[in-house]
Amino acid sequence: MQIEFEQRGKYLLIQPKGRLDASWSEHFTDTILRQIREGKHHLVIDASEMDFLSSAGIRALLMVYKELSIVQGSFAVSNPTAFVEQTLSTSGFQMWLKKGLPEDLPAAGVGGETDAAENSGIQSFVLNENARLSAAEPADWRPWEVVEKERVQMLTFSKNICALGIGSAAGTFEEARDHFGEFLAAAGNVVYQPPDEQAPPDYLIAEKQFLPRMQCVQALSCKGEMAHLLRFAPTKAIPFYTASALLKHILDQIEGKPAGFVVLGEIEGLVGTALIRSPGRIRENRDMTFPEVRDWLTFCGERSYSHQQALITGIVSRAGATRLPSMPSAPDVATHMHGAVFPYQPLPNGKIDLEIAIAKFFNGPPPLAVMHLTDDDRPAVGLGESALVRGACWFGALENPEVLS
Amino acid sequence: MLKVESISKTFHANTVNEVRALHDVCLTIEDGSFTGIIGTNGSGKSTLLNAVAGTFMPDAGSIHLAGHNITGWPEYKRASLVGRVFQDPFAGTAPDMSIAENVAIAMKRGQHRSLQFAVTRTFRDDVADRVRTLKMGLEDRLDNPIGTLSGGQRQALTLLMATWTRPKLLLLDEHTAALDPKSAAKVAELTKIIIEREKLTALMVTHSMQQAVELPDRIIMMHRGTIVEDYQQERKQRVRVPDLMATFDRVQKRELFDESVAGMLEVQYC
Amino acid sequence: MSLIIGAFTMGLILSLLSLGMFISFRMIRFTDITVDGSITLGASISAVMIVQGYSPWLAVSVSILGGALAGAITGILYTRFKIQEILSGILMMTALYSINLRVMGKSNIPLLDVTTISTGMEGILAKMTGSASKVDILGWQVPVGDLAVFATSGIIAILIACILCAFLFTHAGTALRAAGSNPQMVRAQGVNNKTMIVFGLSMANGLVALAGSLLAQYQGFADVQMGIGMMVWGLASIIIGEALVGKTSIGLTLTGVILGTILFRLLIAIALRWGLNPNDLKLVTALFVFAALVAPAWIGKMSKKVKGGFLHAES
Repeated sequence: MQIEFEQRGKYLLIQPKGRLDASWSEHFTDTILRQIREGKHHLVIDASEMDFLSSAGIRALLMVYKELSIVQGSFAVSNPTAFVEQTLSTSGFQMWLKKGLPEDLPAAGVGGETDAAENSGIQSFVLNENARLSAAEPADWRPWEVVEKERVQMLTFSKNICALGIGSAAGTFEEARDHFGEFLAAAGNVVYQPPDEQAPPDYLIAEKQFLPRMQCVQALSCKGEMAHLLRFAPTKAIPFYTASALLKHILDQIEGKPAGFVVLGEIEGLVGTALIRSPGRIRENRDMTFPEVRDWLTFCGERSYSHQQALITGIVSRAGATRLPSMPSAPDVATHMHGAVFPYQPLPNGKIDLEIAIAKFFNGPPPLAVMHLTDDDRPAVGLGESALVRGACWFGALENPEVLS
Repeated sequence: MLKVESISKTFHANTVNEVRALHDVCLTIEDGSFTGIIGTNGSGKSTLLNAVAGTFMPDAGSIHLAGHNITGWPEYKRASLVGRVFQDPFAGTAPDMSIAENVAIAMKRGQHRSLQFAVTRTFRDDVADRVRTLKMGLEDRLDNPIGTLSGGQRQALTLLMATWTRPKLLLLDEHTAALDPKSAAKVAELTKIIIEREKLTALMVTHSMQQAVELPDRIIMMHRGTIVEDYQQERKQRVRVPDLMATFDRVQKRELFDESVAGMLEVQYC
Repeated sequence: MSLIIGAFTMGLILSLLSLGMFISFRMIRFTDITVDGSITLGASISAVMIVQGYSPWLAVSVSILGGALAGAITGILYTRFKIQEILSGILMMTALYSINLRVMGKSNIPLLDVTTISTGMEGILAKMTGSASKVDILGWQVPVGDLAVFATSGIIAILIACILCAFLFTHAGTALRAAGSNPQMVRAQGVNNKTMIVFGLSMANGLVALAGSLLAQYQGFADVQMGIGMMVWGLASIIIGEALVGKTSIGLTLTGVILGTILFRLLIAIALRWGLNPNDLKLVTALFVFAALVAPAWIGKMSKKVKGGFLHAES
């Protein structure tokens, strides 16, 4: 089987030539899914040279169709041969069949330039000009202080809060003491990494009356609605976006004011660290030095989780404007952000809703990791910063940045 | 019971090629348990096995097996207690000699070798019976030189020889690594059958996570000459290949977490 | 005819050398150069003892022990002191040169009109033939003395070959063979392969010394130089033997080694008869061994029969 692609406007015209049967279906599915991953969400299959379609082939088409429905794309089988037409219509998939090519399909040759401009690079959307976002730091543990019961806060994460910090889902301080680890919260969902290298992350989802609650030793939160959305996708010149590049875009759009943000995107590589021992076990205030620090923190050691999907929440400001630490790679940008890793799922293009987009990940396969993202600027051996390939970034200026100073 | 107490071994000490192959390794293996050792290349897993087998003398520490202090015993003397299968299918048998003669040599392991004829009629029948359990059709080829057999057949025979006189400890050194996938599966299956049937105490080095999960009832992971993980009982039953991979990953992460990382985090972790 | 009987006798005596070397070179795979010294040791011990009036059988026994001791020392140099195998042999061989001179007191001892181990056989033959000095065999007149030596050597060679063959099939013998074939395997099976090397070398050199003892008695003298080149002769014999019968079974190979030695001596006798300068003999033998080692690689068909451990692997 030979598969040819042609970008025509927003459509990707696919011409499979030959038999789509069991021996080719896997190759076909992989090839097409890769295209969807690259942001091609409107597919037209020109089946004029598809000689044969077996049930395995139908299954391949169905998988493509399902993937496209997730991203609100479109799917059509045009100009089918008699055999393909009969097979699809008798097996109940006549809704895919189209007599000819879509009417708004540009002529051949004028090509994908228009589409490329639309779906690559940076796109900015204003979601709600009047949206407000207020910051808070309800718990303010600093490494490596003793965790005091009075300073631990039970926080509830409703749908209008995005947050990051260190905490535990246990009900009381005594139960939580040995289980404080990195967490992040967004749109009523919390994902939390127990301080145990062998344990997978746990997660809590707001449902009906239930709202996730955490005992927090450290928390930074933003309450309210995100005013802006940034969509980013690779171009020939920019194969991926580093964290600092994205944060600079945020700051540029809101005149350098401190902001809260949530990012959902395909990972190029994450760099970060996570607790492997609960701060609740610290017996006295102290500096943690090498090698002892290795018993408390784990470092990723390499750019990790490439091609998975990251959910990142954080707060950004110009360096000096808050007491957030500045990024070594971009000394004028200061941030604190946590990232969670989920198995890859495609995101729809365009203006998408934060709550709906995130809910898909929490209702899908379980998260793989949560970490405190760092910028590894060590000379020669440094891993650099975390970077994303494509995705969405919701953000809004903080109306009360003074709580962070 | 095998009891390895704080053994250390450095090869090429005080030269540029110095390798700390084993560093203060302690290990106790109960009778009747089947333990697998996994680890990266150069982690010391084969070195540990060879230390038990007596291929070299450790720099420090002691090894006790079945109530004997075997630390100073030479390799051939330990053979009275230990059966071995090597990675190289050519290592465990004498290629010019017949199947029956090879088994005869194994039969006398740890015993006096007399001037009686090695391969008698009754012994041949005995060999045929046991070789038949391998289901490889070798029972009809007892007088053929072992050199004419395939790697898998030789490895199966070596396994049979190593367990002919029930050893106190069976050492398997990546014994399926050099075989084609089908033979490897067959030899792995035989290993499990024989160890279970004879209720042997066994120590197996393997490079295959899958094999480590499927065969033994305990997994030890080594890294840089030390034991970094020990999956026993319930933990072993629960462990799967991805868990082992994750553990490797963790061990390596810890390795990469050096002083410069600590310095970087001191500024950024807050 | 006496030429043929002579060659046969010489062949039978030297087949003991070949059998000994078969153990060291083929069974435990040790390139043992001690042979050149230990064959002379056997000859010199026997010559001295026989001249001093000891029983020739006692002399033979002491010779065997002497050879065995020499072999054991080579083995210990190799296993205990970790000296390379060739060098261990060279050291022992060089030491034996002085030892042999010490034993004999001079470089040559003639054995004229003394009792040898074939004397008894001579008596038996004399009775059978009615004290005739020569026997008629197929129309050839053969001296009874020559016939006696021939018979004695034949009996000893065959007896030794049979004992050796039986031994190699015992538990101890299989362990010895395996030690040469795969040292790692025998260690894992509880055999001290170092002991096996020492034991094997001592057995091999015992047989070589036996050959030396018989050779001295047959030739009628012991000479400190007599061992030079013996190793290569033995090697040539083993190669010819293996080419004759192949290496399918031990019994057959041992027979082949004996036949090979005899054939080799016949070839030499014929060559000398045709006018080969005896001084060139060792050169010719060396060339022959060279050809026998290298030819199989050129002539593919031969390789299966003569392939052995004498060529080191190409790296």
